[in-house]
Amino acid sequence: MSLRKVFMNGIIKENPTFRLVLGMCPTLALSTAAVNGIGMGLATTFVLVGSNVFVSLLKNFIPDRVRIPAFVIIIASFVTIVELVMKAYVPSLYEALGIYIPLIVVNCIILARAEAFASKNGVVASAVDGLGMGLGFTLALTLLAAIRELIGNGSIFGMQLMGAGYQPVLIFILAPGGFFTLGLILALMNSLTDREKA
Amino acid sequence: MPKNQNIELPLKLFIITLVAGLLLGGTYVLTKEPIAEQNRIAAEAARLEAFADATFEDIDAATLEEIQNTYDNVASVFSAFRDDTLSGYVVALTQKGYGGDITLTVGVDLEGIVTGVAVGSHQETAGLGAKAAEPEFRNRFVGKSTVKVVKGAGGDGEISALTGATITSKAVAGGVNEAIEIASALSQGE
Repeated sequence: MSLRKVFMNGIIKENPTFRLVLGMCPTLALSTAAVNGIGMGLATTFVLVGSNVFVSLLKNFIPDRVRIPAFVIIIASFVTIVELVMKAYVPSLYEALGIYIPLIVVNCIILARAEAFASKNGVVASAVDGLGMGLGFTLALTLLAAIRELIGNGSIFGMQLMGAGYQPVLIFILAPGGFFTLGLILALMNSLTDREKA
Repeated sequence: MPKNQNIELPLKLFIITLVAGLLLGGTYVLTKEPIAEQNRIAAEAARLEAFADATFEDIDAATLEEIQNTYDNVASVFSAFRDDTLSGYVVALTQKGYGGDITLTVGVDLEGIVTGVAVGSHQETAGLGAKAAEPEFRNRFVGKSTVKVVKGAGGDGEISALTGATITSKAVAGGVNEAIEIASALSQGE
């Protein structure tokens, strides 16, 4: 598979949110405002690239039978180190992304890509896979969050778009709205791909 | 499975854990000082946000201890000086929010009126409770002398809660009320 294909794979064909349906906890919890989608997405992308590279480098050292605990240790350590370094030397970045970092550790996209891709492919391809998956996650999360923010708060990226007479449908930024929006997008994606096949 | 795997598997897992542990420990030691420094800068900025254009001085340790005996969630109390005269107090405390502890820095003048509220670290829900950190919400407290959280539009001495985040709103208001009590007690004691 060419690198370009690996990259595009994560954005559309195997989009982690809309096609693989991975990482639903942060997706539903954080997609209340478009800016959160970007923040969480970029933080995840960064960790995903890093952990994919590490796992790919160590794939010959890690015995197959204990690979999952090994991946978990690598990912958790990497995330914690990134958090500490960011806190110490780039506090402004930490302020923007810091609250998402602990959520990334429990994000199954990271483990899934370590298992499904990085443990079987070279370092460069793994990094590209991480980048593609991460950006795919960012796009999906931002789209979902933008819809919820627009309906539930009348704004996108904090900019008020609906007129003053608009009564925000609050349920869309509460948990049920996450399920509604996600379900509708998934249905739309499925119907589009079904049509392609037919 | 072959015998030697009985040793190989745990050994390799042990090595991975050991290296991870050492790296984490090393990073922690290296970043400890810079992080403490960043926290000091952030705390100073928060005090200025709560009490603008002032200089701050720790209150004496005995008084702080006395306060902490009653309010065990208080981290520090500072006297705020404007033009070298005591003009109020700044109280830094933590409150239990919806997702965990919320760090608050509250400025109160000598009349017991809130001059400003700064929200530090918190784990409130993004888009709901996290809005408590935005100036729009924090400024609802400025100029009040006691606060009570209500849903809908707030009247005199009332703060309208953040929609969908009543627990967060109440936590912040509780912290502000505590700070007012502490500061008023200190002002009257002078």
